[in-house]
Amino acid sequence: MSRREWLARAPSQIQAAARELPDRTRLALLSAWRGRSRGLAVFAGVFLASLVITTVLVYGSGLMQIFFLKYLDDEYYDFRMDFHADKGGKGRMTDLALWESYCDDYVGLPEVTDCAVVAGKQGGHGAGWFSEAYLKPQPLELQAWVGDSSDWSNVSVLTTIGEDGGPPTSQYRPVRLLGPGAYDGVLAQRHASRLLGGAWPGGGADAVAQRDVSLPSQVASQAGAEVGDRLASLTFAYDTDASQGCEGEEIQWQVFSYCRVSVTVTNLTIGSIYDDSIQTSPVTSQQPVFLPWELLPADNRSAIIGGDHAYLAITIDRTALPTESTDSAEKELDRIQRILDAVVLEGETDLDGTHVIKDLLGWLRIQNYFIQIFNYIVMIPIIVLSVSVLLYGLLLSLEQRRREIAIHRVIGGGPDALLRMVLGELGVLALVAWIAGYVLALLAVPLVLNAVGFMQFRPGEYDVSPSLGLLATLATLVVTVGLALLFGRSRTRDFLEQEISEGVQRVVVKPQPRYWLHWLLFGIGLVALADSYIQSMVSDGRLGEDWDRGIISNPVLNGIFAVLGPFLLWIGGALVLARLGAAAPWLVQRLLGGTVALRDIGRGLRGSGSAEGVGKLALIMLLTLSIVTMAAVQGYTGMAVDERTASLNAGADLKVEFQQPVDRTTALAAVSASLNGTGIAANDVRLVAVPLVAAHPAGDEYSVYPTRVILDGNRDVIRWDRQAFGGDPGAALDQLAAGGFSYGESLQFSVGGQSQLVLNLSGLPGNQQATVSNSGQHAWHPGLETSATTGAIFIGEASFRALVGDAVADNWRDTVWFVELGPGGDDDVQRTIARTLAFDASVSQVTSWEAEHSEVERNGGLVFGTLGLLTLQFAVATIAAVASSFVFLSLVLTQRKRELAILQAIGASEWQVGRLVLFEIMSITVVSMLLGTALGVGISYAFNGMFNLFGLIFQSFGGASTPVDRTLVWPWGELLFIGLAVLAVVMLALVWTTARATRADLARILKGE
Amino acid sequence: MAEDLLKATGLYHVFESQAEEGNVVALRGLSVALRDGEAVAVVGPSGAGKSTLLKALGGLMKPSAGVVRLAGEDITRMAPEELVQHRRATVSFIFQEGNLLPHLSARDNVLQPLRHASVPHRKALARVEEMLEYLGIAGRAHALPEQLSGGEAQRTAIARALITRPRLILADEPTGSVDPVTARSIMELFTRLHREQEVAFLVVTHSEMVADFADRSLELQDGRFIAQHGEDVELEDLALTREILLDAGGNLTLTPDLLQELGGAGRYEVRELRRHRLTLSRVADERETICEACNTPFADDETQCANCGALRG
Repeated sequence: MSRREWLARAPSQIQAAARELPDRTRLALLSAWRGRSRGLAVFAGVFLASLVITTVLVYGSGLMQIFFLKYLDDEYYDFRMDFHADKGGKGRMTDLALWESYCDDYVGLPEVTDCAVVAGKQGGHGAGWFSEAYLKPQPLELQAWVGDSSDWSNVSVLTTIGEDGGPPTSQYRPVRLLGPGAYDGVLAQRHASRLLGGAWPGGGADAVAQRDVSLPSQVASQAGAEVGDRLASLTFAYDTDASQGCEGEEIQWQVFSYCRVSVTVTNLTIGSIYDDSIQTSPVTSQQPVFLPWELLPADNRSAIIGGDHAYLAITIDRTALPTESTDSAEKELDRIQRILDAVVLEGETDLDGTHVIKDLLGWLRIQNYFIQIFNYIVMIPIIVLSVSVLLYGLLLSLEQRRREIAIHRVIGGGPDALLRMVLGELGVLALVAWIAGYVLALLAVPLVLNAVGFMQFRPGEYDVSPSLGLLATLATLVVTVGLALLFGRSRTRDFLEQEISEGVQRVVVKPQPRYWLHWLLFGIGLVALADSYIQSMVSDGRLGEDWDRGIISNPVLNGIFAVLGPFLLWIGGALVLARLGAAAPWLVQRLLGGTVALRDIGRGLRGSGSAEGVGKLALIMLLTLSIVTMAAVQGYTGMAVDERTASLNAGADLKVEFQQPVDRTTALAAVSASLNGTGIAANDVRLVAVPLVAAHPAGDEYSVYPTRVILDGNRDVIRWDRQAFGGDPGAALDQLAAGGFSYGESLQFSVGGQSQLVLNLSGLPGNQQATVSNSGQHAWHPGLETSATTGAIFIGEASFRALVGDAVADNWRDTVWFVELGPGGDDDVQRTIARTLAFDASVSQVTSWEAEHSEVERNGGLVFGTLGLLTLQFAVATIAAVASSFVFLSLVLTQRKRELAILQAIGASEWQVGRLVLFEIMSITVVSMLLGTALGVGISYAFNGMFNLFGLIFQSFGGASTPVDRTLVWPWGELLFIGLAVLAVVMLALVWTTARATRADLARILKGE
Repeated sequence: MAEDLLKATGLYHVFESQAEEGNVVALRGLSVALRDGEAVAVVGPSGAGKSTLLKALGGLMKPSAGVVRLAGEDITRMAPEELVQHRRATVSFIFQEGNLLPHLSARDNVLQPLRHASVPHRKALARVEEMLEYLGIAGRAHALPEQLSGGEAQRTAIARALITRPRLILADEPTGSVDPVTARSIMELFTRLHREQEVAFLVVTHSEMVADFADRSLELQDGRFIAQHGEDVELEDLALTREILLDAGGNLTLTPDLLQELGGAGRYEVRELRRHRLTLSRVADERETICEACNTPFADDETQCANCGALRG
């Protein structure tokens, strides 16, 4: 047909197609519904793919929202209005009355809920990043404070905040001045919600009248200050516009010069102490001392405005922000920002709005991309599984349609019409499956986001309602339904071509599966497995450090193997082992053929493994069970890693750090004083310190080893872990107690080879010595910094006493004491005691194991929420195992309906046929499940390499590293339970489908109807 | 003289096989012609190639060699889509089992060929209602095949075959799976169609009743028509009504009974050849004197071994 003819005919064809659409759609729906049993596998495949892909996508959006909400919650302000220009620039002013009146202009906007004059920030201009002026604004630096009733001379005005990253910040603790707007309305509520003690003033006038100061808890703790205590004076510095002449001190910071002026406020009362563990945007000065703005004389305030410290803090109704995605929330914030920017202010003042957490979003996005990449990789097996179910289901269902297609051909159906017909039906099925998967994913994601462990959830912490944008939704539709139609198209075409060519060429040569390729994939996967296993043996201490890099030493190749190896092992292994699974009936016949159970049906079993559907059933069972195993193992391992990390950080129920070294009695008294109302008796509490002394080998005074002492009571308090000593910690501690020593990794060359050490105390008179024998290497001590133990040696109490004498040992004073609370020391009790202890003036910091664990569960482990995804993977794979066994059984039995009918026709009883099917399918299922579990064990090891790799990436993001290894945990009980549950369902499905097959009308089946 | 509705010449079909016996030749240079409105039965033993012939003649299968002209067009040289169009316009099939589409109602089954032919839905529906009425199954229009009796199912299949108004119906044992009463009513229907609408039939059958309906019957054996019978065909003993066929290619195939009567395969000389008459005589030295199977000597006039029953070569 020429192009012109085609164009001429197109309108009428389109018309005809539109006219026929209702009837064709009705027919497609009808066929899809009536042929649902053959379409179940296709449905299951698309459903699983849709569920998993949508979940991961929505999960990504939910994760971003949680991060967003978390950071949003941490901030007091939503927008900051700054001068657009640098000091002395256009649109600036120092008119105090005018400045303080601007808030009225903003509060009048419907979007704004509160506004306050604030002074004290770190960098930032409306001109934005990358402008030279951005770094210029300096914080209001605290210079001195004088206590009224207590001594504040030892309370440092320096701070460590900001040392870990972010923009260069001042080392002085900042001061933030709050205008009257911050003492009422939304801003007052936000401040009040973070108080640990005291009360937020009931208005600007109150704050001034009380001469209120709000302190970060760390400062209050250092000062031993309590609410109601007074400060005689507090001095801080601000910058002035140096171009007008400098009345203060001229200083140079980086390339900028400043004129710094000091101001002192006197006679302050500590009105409140706030929780300073929450990090806020580094651009607003962090963990400051809050003071009322109006305590300062007007001159100072004007100078502070001119000196680039002041801004307007604006809040909006956060509940009105869209929650379906971060993008939409950001769009709304941008819209509000434009409204704020458009406000015309008196005096031609030019202020720019900055969304306080906008800068963080960019960083969050990058982190989120990595997390999503990892999650996609983790979910690949499930997606492959879904596609396999889809593909094999499609093939089997087409097989079942062979006769139907032949009939259509006879009654005038051409290849194109038949293709359209099959695809129409497939499209309807796939569309329904996609919708089902999509909806379920939207329901499942909040659950996944609430996961804090494998199959463990902590609901209600975040309220997000993630959803997918239109484009992403269409993408899932295209990927899932499109994939089904694409496969369907190619398979149906092949099938139709084969059908149509039948007769011309009776012998259809089926391509032989590429077994060599299966073996090749399996082989490469096995190498990756061996590599991963060797590395895990090294980390367990079962193999020497020489094998640290496994068998693939090249780091790039090792990385490629770590990521690809598990998949090759999984797919290659499943393809290779499935042949064994499909041959199970033959095996059973060989083993049990002579028994009463099989004597009469042995021949029937012998040839059954050849059926194509049976091979597919074996493959699908292998794929699913291996994923179930892997997800369970990695899930439980993740939880174990979380617990180990919590132990590594906290060491015991509580880790209490005192301001000054204290002895055991003092430490115990402090802890005992905080037990009120917790139900813990002081007698049940055990304490231990890990004394640190410097020791050197006798005769070598220059080789000083930091020496940590494992006291006899240590093991009753510290939560030791196998990884700490690379083996049984009890045995290692026994050896230390009996005069042994262990050494950290960096001392391996200096002391690792010595069987015995004679130690002297360094820097102390006397000649007391301890002889200690080498009991191996240690990795870490729970609760102590790893860096402090890798270069140290551990000795036992006896050796310690030999070195320092009983008097020193008995009255040892230490700043860090570990506490074991006894049987009642659960989560709430630990938190209560920790909170109470934090107010103790002598205590600088308290870490509780449970709080640490919760934190790690939420943010640590491997990555946020991965355990939720593994739970999802576990659940989906289990459902897939059950569903696919059911679907494939049904298909296999339909395929063999005729064979079974013939057996019945020649005299086999229903019982015999039932038994034949039972033995055949059960043998395949059981053998495939066992092989699948074995393969799962393999891929769990192989995947561990990849988990470690991504773990390193995420740790580098967090700026931390952990010595905790992912030693695999084997939840055999759970796996056995799942295995039995799958078997039970297979049995049920079998009984049902077999009964259907054997009770069908024999005559009809044998006639081929 | 009007052109034949269906004409096949020199049809060969070989099924490839990897079995030890090698390929199977299903049709061996077969030729046949069918006029418009004529009803022809094809009879013969199982495995003679009847179903293969039906597929080849109806364009469901391309023969290995030979030409099939259906309504004047050579269907062996048509492109797949063109063939489907041509088939739709000329021919329909009826099978022993009805072969209804299991997921469609009787009405949808009958409607399906019109859907394939892109007949507008309303028009198609009206035709289907009429057809179901004509065949007396209008009351069962919404039943699924599994809910239909054998007779109803076969009527539905016939309705589906007729709905495209074909000029030729190719039927493979159309009464093979129904009871005698239903079979009779189906044949009455065929007769009515044949007479009233002048539909041509080519029916493969083992049934006397079906063969009686045909204007003539062709006897198929080993992939070739060997004989023709008139309306009075006697299926129990085909020899009674048989007329041996000598085809245009000069091929003559004898039935086993005739071959046996003749004295088996061998060399024959033409004793007499006149118009419409041929006399053959066995070459004398060709005749076996001893049975190859059991070494028993043959008597002069024996055509079969008296000892073991083997045919004399």
